[in-house]
Amino acid sequence: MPQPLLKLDNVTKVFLTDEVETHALSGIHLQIEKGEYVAIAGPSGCGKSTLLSILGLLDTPTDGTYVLNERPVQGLTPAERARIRNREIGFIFQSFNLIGDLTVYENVELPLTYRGMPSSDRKQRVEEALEKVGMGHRAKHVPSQLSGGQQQRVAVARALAGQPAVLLADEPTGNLDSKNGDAVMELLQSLHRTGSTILMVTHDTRFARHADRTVHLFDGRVVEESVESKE
Amino acid sequence: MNDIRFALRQLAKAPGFAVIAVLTLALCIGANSAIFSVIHAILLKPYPWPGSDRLAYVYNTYPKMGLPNAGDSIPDYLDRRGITGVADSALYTRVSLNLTGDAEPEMITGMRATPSLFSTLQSAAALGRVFNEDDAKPDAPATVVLSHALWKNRFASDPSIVGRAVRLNDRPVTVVGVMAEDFYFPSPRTQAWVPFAFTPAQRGDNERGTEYSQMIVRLKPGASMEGVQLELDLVQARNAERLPGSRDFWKTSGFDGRIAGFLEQNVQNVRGMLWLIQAGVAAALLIGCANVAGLLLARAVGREKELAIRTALGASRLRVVRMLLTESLVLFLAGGLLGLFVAIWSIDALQGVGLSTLPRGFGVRLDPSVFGFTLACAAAAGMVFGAMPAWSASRDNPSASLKEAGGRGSAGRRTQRLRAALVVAEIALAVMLVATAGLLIKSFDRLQRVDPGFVPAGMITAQVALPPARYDSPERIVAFHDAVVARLGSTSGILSAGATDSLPFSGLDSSGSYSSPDIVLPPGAPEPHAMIRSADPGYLRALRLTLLQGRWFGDTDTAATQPVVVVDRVLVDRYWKGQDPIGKRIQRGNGGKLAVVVGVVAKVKFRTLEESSDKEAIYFPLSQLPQPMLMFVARAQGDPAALAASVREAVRAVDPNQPVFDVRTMAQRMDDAAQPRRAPVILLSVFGGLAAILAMLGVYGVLAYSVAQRTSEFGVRMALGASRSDIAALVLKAGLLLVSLGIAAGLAGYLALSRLVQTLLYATPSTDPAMLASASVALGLVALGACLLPALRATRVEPLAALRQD
Ligand SMILES: Nc1ncnc2c1ncn2[C@@H]1O[C@H](COP(=O)(O)OP(=O)(O)O)[C@@H](O)[C@H]1O
Ligand SMILES: [Mg+2]
Repeated sequence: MPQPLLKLDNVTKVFLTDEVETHALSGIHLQIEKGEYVAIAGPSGCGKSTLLSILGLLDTPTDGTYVLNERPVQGLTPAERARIRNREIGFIFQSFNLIGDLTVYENVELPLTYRGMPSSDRKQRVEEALEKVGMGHRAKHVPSQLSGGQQQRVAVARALAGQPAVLLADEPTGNLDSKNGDAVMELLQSLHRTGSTILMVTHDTRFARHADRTVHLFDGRVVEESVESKE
Repeated sequence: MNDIRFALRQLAKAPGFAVIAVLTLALCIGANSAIFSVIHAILLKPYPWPGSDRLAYVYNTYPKMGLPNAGDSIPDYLDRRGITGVADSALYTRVSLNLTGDAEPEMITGMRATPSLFSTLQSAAALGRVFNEDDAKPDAPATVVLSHALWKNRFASDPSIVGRAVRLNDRPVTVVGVMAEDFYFPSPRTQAWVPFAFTPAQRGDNERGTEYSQMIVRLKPGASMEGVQLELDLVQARNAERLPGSRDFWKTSGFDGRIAGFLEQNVQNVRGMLWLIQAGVAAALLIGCANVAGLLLARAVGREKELAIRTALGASRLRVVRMLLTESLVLFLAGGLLGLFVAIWSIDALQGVGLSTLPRGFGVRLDPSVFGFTLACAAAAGMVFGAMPAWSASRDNPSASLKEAGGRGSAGRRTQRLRAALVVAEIALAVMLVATAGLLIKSFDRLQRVDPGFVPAGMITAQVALPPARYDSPERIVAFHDAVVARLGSTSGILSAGATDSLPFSGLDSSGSYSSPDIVLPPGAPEPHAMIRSADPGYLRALRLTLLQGRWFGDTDTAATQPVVVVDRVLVDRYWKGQDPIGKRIQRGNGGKLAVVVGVVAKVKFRTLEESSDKEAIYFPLSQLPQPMLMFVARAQGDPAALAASVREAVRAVDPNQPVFDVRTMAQRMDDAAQPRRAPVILLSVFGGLAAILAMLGVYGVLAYSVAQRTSEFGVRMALGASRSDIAALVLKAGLLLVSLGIAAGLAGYLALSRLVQTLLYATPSTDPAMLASASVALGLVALGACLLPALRATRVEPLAALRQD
């Protein structure tokens, strides 16, 4: 039986602030197969972002194990974690998080630069990624010259450019109006159709329906998993 | 009022910012006030005599003889007194006055001056009267005018002193007046004035060339220096007409009378240096203001949202600017107040590094008007530097700032660029200051290694001025000398002892014309003129002069034997190159006895180590040319300073009424001579260091601020796979760019000014590449050091926390 791409076992995350313990995640079991499109839904504060951060190696679990691509990630050095983030994971943030001083092209190029890829290869990858999201004609613009929807499409291109194993998107439509939001959702769906593994946090059940499967969180626990029926 | 309260509250909320800003400003404003007080006291302040800007020196010049600056003779004075542009004039010369009486005999510094001195200075006595013309008649009773300080210290401010007699040089002299406390002439060291009386013989043409006096003139209102100079030329032309015997000498030596402003002439040697230091300090002030402006900018950006909200709530742009301005003014004024203490302390410290050895360097104190001026400058700087961020912050339209969901607004980028430009300027100024200071140190060091022609270490020196009343014949002087030197020679701890009338670094030296049947002058060449020195047999060994050829004087050279001289190498090279100088003949002036050259010594530096005068020197045996002004020199076995008492004792044993003064080691004398060069070196080094620290603070401020602003960007980069070293490199690269731009600008600026610096250097090229490279590297390292902390902080950014900011 093939191993899942991501596998969380009994993962717990406790935040300790001012001697108050917050159990953000409690005993999470989660498996995601290659090529899946999974939505994580739940009310604000239920632990969605925390879960995504752990999956994206931006944070470590307090307890439990996490295996990514058949590799346990506990005890890796910060440099190794940075390397995995760079190669295996593509992030899409709610607030786009493009770097304002860099052009669209340079933003998309950034993860490839950290990989030490030669510039001719980078150029090809960046152009491909920008074409995929329909932003090829804006390569020389800076983010402040783009609309929110356009900025998020560039952010998606940046996540795609490194051809990561999984795309992690935390409320990618949260800062967009519904028209731009729909466009970004369509983009993710088309990526899914061409084989990308996507994990998307949303509190909007309307968007959750695009996914193959939705994991519902409540108060740091998985309360329900639902599989979308495909028409 | 409301604004001020709010400003204070805002500053209290950021104590670190307030402390750094106030300290920076206090240092800069304080240093500026201190240095400007020095400039003011030395270069700008008028003398205490009314209308002192109309006072000028008139002096003789022999430009073609290497003697640009000589004194005046009595007949010169009498000629020039009548010039139409001159309202009044005086002739004066230094005299040593041996004050005896009830207390310990004391050597006081006096001036022999024509009675017209006081009318020329337009100064009256505080007690009694100044001299009148009758006091200067050759047979008039002896009189003296006391300085306020002497009256206070020696005579306990006794008001009945006027009319009483005191003993000066063993004669009773009547005190006719006491000057006011603030009066001095020519310097506060002068303690008494006695009348300068001319005998009929002294007024005659034979006295031309006897130039041991100085002349000052007061110009008539409306008269110009150029006009007086023309008249001086005319007087000289008329004299040349009238005195055909002197005509040729005057022509070949280029002789004439010259006029130079009194203040200008006195400060000409320090003027350039002082202005350079002032420029350095002003640069430091600019750097400091730039730093504080940078801090204010950073704060203004941090408060962009607050300002936007205020504007949205209807505050006018003017109000917002006023609020921010109030804050910066409060800072600058607090810095100014603290700077007052820094200034007072700095002036004290400057006195310690030899300020009082500079001309007019006595009496430098913090001038209230100077401090007020500096404070006003600081306040103006506060307005400008405060207005810049205020304007910049209030310019943005509020909706843009309000919409900005974190991250950097356009105002942020703009002010960051402005700050970066300021930091580049700071580094540039620091490079310029440090390079200049480094070169001054190098030049000073080179100078200290210059061979003076004798061995300064281990020598004690002391002066006596034998009063003519008691030492009225050459035999008496020689007897006194022989007895003292004999005593010194038998004192334990003294290796060798000698005497001279003109010791190096003592201020005593004299020059005169000489001639020789063995010198063939090329046609049109000026008549020979040399430094003329008397010395005894022990002098050579006591100073460890280098005897190049022949012999030095011995005890067998006496007034009764064949006159002999020793000349220096300069004279031999000038007139007897390739010949044997021993046996050649020389006489002082154009008459007198011919002396035979018996030896040749190496050249000795006399006034400063950097002097490059190629004037020859002739040494006469003291026994054949005795002088009443004597310097005793003893070479010590151990610490020369410990011998001061023995030297005094030796003189007292020979003549108990003879004061000894100016007892100092040769090392002290040379140290004093080096002061005018050392003080600026120390000052510029301090300011160079200060500038470097300020530049470091500036670099740190910009980068730390930028790191804080870019936290979320770093988080994004890390999420995308940047390692911590990638992030550190990012910050260091930004720092490196600033630093290298700053260094490049600094070097360019320095090179533009290097000609000015060159004038202050001794045997050191102002564009010395090694020094410029070291200064650049040193500042580069310091500035990069300042980048390390922000870079380290950037690597500590937690990507998650950074991303969570929005
Ligand atoms: N760094 C942290 N320190 C303390 N508590 C945290 C931290 N991050 C998240 N939390 C807490 O964990 C819980 C889950 O947060 P989060 O995962 O951001 O929720 P969601 O994304 O579902 O809105 C919340 O109660 C939040 O306050
Ligand atoms: Mg969240």
